[in-house]
Amino acid sequence: MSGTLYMAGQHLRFFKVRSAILVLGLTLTIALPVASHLIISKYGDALKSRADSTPYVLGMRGNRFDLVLKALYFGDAQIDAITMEDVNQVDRSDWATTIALHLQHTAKGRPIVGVSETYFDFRKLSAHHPNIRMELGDVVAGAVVAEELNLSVGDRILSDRQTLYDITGQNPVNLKIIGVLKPTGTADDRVLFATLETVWLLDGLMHGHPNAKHAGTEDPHRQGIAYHEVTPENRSSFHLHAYPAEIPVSAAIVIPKSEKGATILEARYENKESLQLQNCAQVVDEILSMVVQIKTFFDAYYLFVLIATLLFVGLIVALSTQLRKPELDTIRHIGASRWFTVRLQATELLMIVAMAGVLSLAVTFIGLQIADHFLLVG
Amino acid sequence: MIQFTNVEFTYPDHTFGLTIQNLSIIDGERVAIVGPSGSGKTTLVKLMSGALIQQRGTIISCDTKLTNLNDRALRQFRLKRIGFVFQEFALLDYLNVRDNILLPCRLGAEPMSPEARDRAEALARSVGLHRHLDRYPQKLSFGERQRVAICRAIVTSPSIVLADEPTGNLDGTTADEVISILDDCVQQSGATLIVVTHNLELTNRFDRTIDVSEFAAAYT
Repeated sequence: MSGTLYMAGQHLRFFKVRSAILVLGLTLTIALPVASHLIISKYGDALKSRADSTPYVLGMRGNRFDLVLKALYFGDAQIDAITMEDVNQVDRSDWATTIALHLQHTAKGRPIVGVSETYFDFRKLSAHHPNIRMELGDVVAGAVVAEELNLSVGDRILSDRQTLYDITGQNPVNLKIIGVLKPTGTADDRVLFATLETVWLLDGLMHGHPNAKHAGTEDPHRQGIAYHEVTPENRSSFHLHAYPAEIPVSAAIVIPKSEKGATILEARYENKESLQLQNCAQVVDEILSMVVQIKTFFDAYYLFVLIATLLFVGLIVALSTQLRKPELDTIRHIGASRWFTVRLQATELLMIVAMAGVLSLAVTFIGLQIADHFLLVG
Repeated sequence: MIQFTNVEFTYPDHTFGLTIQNLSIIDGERVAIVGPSGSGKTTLVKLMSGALIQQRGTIISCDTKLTNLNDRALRQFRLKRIGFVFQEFALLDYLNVRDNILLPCRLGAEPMSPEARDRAEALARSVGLHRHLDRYPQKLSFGERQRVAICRAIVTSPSIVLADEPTGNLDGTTADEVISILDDCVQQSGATLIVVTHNLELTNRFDRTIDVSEFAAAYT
């Protein structure tokens, strides 16, 4: 090992605390902007990719961001429901096909998404267990939900009670896991899928109960007797208590059959008072442009922090050179060149920068993992 | 041998200078340099080592005419031919005793080799520091630090050992002990020993005493 490298290493080792503070300071200065840039890029790419593959979303007129985020990424925003009739109208127009979505309920805190059967094909979702065919009372778990809740095919999961203190509210339903989806790295991993009918069951719009004669009562509705689990034996007893036209859905994905169809539908819904048809890519672009504006602010902030940190490092080097003058004079007196002492200090600085670089990579990597786990919703 | 002939040296600010017509120190000689503060003892030592260059005259040290050497050659000359012992010990706090002794090797006096390490350890053993090889200077007494500095000065077997007030920071007993160690080590290596000292009691240990005040040329 060369003299400068060895002596620089010994110097950093001996003054551990000072070295550690410098390394940590530089690490934060490097890692924060890099990690935030990567996370925002990844977040943006994930949002964009899902938006690009989803042409339009139909929903109740209101905040377009909430509607798109809810329909694409199953976010927490509350949106008003539309009806199945609204969705069927689009289907009947023959300009587009639709996939209805209904998100009102959760099970162990994870969203239960009621979907039309075509949703899995549309999103190219496949399960570990082949031939998934959801029936009433069945759910298919996303990969992350299954892993986190340790769910497998055949297990049951109880839907969450929506209003804890409302004893007249709908009771939780025991749902059966009939499949676990392969991981996709998208929002589909973090939800439970069910049929629309199953979600209506959770809404209280459907229920099943024993035949009046079997129950020994004249009116089982009045008695409040209802099944809380769908089984092959009682499945046929479930029925809907609502007019089909009034059945609610949160939103619908609209897939135009042609450009012409898309244009006509856009025009048709542009002035509708109660409904809105949103182009997902445009809405997500708007969201991302806002994120980019905020990011620009942070980039400027990080730049100032970087400049300030570099000035501080320069100050520390200058002060350190002054403090070390006797040491450096001794080294030169013994026979080292001025270049050797410059090299010695430069090597120390480079080692600190290198350690900060490596640590920054680690911090960035961990940051990305955490972001993957908690933030990414693509 | 060190030979000064018609040497004139003046600091750039003309506050002090030395004029030496003739001064010879033969190989292996042990010389004490004495004189009051500010009389030029350290200046003389720096001229001997090539750390200062005179304006006139000739200095020949170890058969080398120092004025003929460029900066790089002068550094190499100091590194390989001269061992230094300083009043303030001038040990590097962040190097342990072993590495402090081996500092001239790290600076390029000779390649770092197992032989150099063995030599450093043998030297440390000879001055009673072998148990402290992995310790850092701050954990050593002043006397121990100066012994480390002596080992560092002679680890590359230099031709000349220049000690600038090596006992200045030590009490009487320790000073005596350090001079004995320095004397022994240098005698074993056969080097020329030149010691700057204020302590006149120590001068009887040397072959010769030079009073530098006779060379001083003060300026006003």
